[in-house]
Amino acid sequence: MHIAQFLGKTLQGEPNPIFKPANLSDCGPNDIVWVKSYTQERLILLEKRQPGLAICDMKTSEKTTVPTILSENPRLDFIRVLNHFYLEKREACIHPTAIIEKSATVGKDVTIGAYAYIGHDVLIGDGCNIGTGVVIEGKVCLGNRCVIKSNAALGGQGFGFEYDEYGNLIHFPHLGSIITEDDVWIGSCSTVEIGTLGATRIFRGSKIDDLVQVGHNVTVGRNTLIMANTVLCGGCSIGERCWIAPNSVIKEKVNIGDNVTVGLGSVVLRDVEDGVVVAGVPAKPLQ
Amino acid sequence: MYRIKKFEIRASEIADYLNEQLVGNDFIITSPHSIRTYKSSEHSSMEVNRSRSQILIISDHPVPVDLCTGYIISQNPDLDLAYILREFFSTAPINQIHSSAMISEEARIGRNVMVGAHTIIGPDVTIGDNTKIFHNVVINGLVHIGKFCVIKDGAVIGSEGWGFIDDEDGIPFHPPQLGLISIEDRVWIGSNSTIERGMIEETVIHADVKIDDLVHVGAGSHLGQKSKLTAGVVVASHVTIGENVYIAPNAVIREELNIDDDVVIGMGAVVINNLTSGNRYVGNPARLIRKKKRQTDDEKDTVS
Repeated sequence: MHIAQFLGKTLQGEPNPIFKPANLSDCGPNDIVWVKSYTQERLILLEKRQPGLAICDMKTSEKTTVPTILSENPRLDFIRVLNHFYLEKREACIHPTAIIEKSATVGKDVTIGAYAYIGHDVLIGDGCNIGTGVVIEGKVCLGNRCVIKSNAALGGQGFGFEYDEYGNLIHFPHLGSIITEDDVWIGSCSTVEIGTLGATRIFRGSKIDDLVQVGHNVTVGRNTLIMANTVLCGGCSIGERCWIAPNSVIKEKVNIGDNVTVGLGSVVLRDVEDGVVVAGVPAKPLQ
Repeated sequence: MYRIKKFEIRASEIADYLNEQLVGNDFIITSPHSIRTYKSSEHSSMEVNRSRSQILIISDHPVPVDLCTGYIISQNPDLDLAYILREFFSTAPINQIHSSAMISEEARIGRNVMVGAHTIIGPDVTIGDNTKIFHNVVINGLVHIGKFCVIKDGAVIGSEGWGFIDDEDGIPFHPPQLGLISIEDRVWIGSNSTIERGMIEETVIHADVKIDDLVHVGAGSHLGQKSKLTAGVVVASHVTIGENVYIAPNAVIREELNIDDDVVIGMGAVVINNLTSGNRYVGNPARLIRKKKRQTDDEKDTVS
């Protein structure tokens, strides 16, 4: 079997021809599925549906009659199979309605969707995928293979105001930049503000979900996951491999260490040390 | 919006512009820097202008002489730096209407208005002079926008209000939303924010209101002058907010509430009752923080 060979693992059971990937709950005889871990219900489903191949853990593999590939992380291996065999590779193209200013630099194999606007001084790395209606303006530098989903806005002016003598609000002109490294993902309708004078930085491999607001001068460390509707206020800094749950708020200038987990709807007001789990309003460490 | 500009200016000229005294030597400044990006200093409440080894500091207290070439004492360093940046080191774009913008012929657009790429402006829209509307914005329905407003990328103003009413069979019925949206002068609306149209009643955003990104303002709401709504705030329908109110990120305000003047609402707060003037409210559901406790909190902050 090609799939077993590709994963470098051994196939147990009859090699069937595999046509398409599917969910466990609605799979058929020529489908490939994945089983996260052993449960009674999942085993019953496997026996009832009889898919062509299952990527699963040791316990499921021992009990089922379906051909299986053993894996320590079935989901990861399933993702690898999808990426290698089933993902249609579209050719990179820039939609004719997209507007790219002359002083912008766009790398090789970049896809830009309809009605996107790429402003002056923007630098886009190779292999980036930019959705429809995305606006990128100001001094923005995107690394290679970044994904920007539809309607995201990068490089807008930050929300910095100061009261003058008469009590009127004066806007602080934001003249900084945004630097995102390689493999960064930014979700639909998310906004990333430009730095006041320094830079807003998103390091390599970080993924930002939909409707997230990243404030000015924020630093997001490597491989961090930030979920939907989170607000990162100005100047806060997040470490590596963190997980920030949906609807959280991080107060301005708060530092969050590496490997931190922030619970659903938390409001983080104070610095968080490495490896701590915090949750609640205001966020407190969990035991 | 702004682009940084190369500019050389003498320190004494900046002092003259701010109407303050320059302490130390006079020299030529070539670029502005923020204290956050300029590492050699430990002072946090001041801003730095740097020229190789020569530094001008704008600060609210005297600075040691070995740290800089000269300094200017200012009551409000952030504001003064903002003035200097705007005056000397930045260029704003020329206000013009982008060729790909789709503006209805019936819309009334004032003088010197900027409209960005792919922006759509409907027939019943009035826009005042000197307003900047960026890219991919949608403005629809009966909308009046004042002068000197800024509407950032992807904002949607005048989309149909939620306003569903269950009919006899319990099926949600959508009544036509015909209300006016009135946005007064110098209002700022952030990226991807939405302002909804009411059924008949007006949605009013008074002068000098600043709305950050990803904010939702429901139908029929009134936002008082100089109020600030930060990112992710949700204001449900028919809420009346007073003047000078500050709402921290991700707070939610229930429908048909009154928020008095000078109220501060904390991060992630869920407001389900009317709030009275001048107080701070936090938590879910939002509760008043007593003033004594607030003072100790402030003291703690200054100590740390």
